[in-house]
Formats: sequence, structure tokens, C-alpha cells
Amino acid sequence: MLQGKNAVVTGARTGIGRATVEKFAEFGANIWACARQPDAAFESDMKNISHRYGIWIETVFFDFADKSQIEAGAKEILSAKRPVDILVNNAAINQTELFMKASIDNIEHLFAVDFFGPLLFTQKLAKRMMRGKASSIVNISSLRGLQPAPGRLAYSSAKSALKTATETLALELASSGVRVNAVAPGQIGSERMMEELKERKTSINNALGRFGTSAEVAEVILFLASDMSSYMTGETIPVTGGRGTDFTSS
Amino acid sequence: MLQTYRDLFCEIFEIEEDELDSATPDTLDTWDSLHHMNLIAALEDEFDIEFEPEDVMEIVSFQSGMEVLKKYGVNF
Ligand SMILES: NC(=O)c1ccc[n+]([C@@H]2O[C@H](COP(=O)([O-])OP(=O)(O)OC[C@H]3O[C@@H](n4cnc5c(N)ncnc54)[C@H](OP(=O)(O)O)[C@@H]3O)[C@@H](O)[C@H]2O)c1
Repeated sequence: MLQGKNAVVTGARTGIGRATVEKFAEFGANIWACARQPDAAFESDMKNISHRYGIWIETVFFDFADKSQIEAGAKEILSAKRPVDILVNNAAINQTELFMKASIDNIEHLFAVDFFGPLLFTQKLAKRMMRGKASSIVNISSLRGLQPAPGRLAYSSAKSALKTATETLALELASSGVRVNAVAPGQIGSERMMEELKERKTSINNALGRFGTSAEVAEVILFLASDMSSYMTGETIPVTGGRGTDFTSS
Repeated sequence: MLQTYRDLFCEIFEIEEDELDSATPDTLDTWDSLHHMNLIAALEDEFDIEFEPEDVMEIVSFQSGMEVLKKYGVNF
């Protein structure tokens, strides 16, 4: 499905990003796996995946909170002079803070990592992607971007902004063969999420009555990244197990 | 370099080589603002440069594009 394609995945060390790397590799894509900091366990994990599936994976390290690092990361990828067919903007942080107690610095930091960082990275890589015939950008938004909840002002707003950016970019990049879509996961049982949910004593609140897995989100990312979704752009697909009625607690 | 530049122009504006010399936003239906940005992105990627905003606006024909590129050290 992705045979011979080259993909960039951010936040590749854990959770949905890690599952996406494995899914893409399984379907034949080569990958630039981006993470914040070099880490031996991550390097060896990526090496194992690349051997298992017979594709190449190159690790790239940069922090989304730092514009010059983002530029350097993009430059490293572009300097390979290879086509970039797929970009998955997955790396993000989360934050829970009631508005009246919220620090504007924290909100700014979240927006830098979850919104402005991915935009700058996309702007740099899109130049190469626009030269391909059928490229795909997949942004990882969130159910919170569609349906805000108390205490989630910064996160919900940033993810909502990413959804709107997805729609705008889809219009601007369509003429150069780049599709731009998003996925809005709900309650996904990635390690980080499970810890957070435990802390916040959150219960399961969806029609299927369970947490989703990172692999289940990666399947939808794969669909949007591949030509199977060739007539889709500017869309956000919720992956939520069926949105319930009471989402104030998740 | 010159052939790469010609190829990019033809590819982005979907024109033949013999139309290049007269190519401007007025003569080509395909030269709208979106395709203009596609051209800028492709030139930046191909020649590994970043245009200043005022130079982006200066590229209003096949010839003027070459003049602007020369400022960035691209030799034809
Ligand atoms: N899990 C859910 O229920 C859920 C629900 C809705 C949306 N999402 C979205 O899904 C995406 C993946 O989340 P996840 O659940 O898989 O969480 P995760 O395991 O925490 O993954 C997030 C990744 O982003 C990276 N990252 C964070 N800050 C960074 C920075 N400043 N620079 C570079 N990388 C940074 C992290 O790298 P480090 O390992 O270096 O920290 C981590 O690998 C996120 O966009 C999240 O908002 C998740």
C-alpha cells in the first residue's frame, strides 16, 4: 500500500507515533522517525522495525518547542534529496488547567509545540511534497478539538486550530497534488494517556465501552496516508469508539 | 541549471517549452496565486534557497524569475 513511499512521522518514540511507524513499515514505507532527543532504546527499536520489514528508517531529533531545531530537523530530512510522500504531524503535549488558574506561558508553550511547531515543519517539508504527484499530510488532532471540555482550553484550542489549518492547507495545496487530512482520536490507551486517565480518575465514555489502541488509530492514519483515500482532503476523521454524550470527564 | 528551470516552469504551469518566453500571469490561465506559490516552493526546494518576500513578488515572467534567481547565486 505504501511500497516505495517515504514518510515522516513525528513523536515516533511512543504511543500513536510509534504504532504509525510500525504500520507504515509493515506496508512498505521508508520512514524518517522524529523524536525529541536521542535515545538508545528508541534507536534500537527503530532498527528492529526496519530489519523486520526490510525498509529504511532514519531517526531525526529535534524539539518542537524550538523553531531553530525544527528548521534544522527539516533541513536534515530535505538534504537527503529524496521525495517526501507522507508527513504525519503527531508529536504533541497535553495540558489540563482550569482557565481561571491557567498560566498564559503554559498556554503559549502548548501552542508552540502542538500548533506552531507542526505548521513550521509542514511549511518546510511541503516544498518537497508539492513536487511529488500524490503526497499526503495527516495531522493528529483530537476529539477535544471537536468537543472541548473544562480544563482543556489550551489543548482543545490548539487541536481545533490544527483541524482548521488542515482544512485551509487542503485548499492551498490541492493544486500541487498534496492532500491534507486529520485524525481526531478519542480515548486511546497509549501509555501516557493511561497515566493521565488514572490521575484524573477518568472513566470510559464511548459507545464501544473500551479504550482504543494506538494501532487502531494508526490504521486510520495509514488509510489517509495511502492512495486509498485519494478523493479525500481537508477532512478530520474521529476515531473515538463512538462519541458518548458526557465527555466532560475525559 | 537552465534546463531544470525550464522543466519546472513547464511542469508547474502545464505548458510547452515554446511558450516559456512569453509566460506571464497575463498570458497563462494556469498562472494564478496558488500556482505562483507552487513555483516558488519548487524553486526554493530545487535550488536550496529561501526567497525574501519582495523577491517572490518580482517573479512575474519566465525571464524575471531568472533574474531573481541570479541574486541568490543560481547561475544559468
Ligand atoms: N492518547 C490519546 O488518547 C489521544 C487522544 C487524542 C489525541 N491524541 C493525540 O495523538 C498524538 C499522539 O499522542 P499519544 O497518545 O501517542 O501520546 P505520547 O505517547 O505522549 O506521544 C506524544 C509524542 O510527542 C512527542 N513530543 C512531545 N513534545 C515534543 C516536543 N516538544 N518535541 C518533539 N516531540 C515531542 C513525545 O516525545 P517524547 O517521547 O520525547 O516526549 C511523544 O513521543 C498527539 O498529537 C495527541 O495529542 C492522543
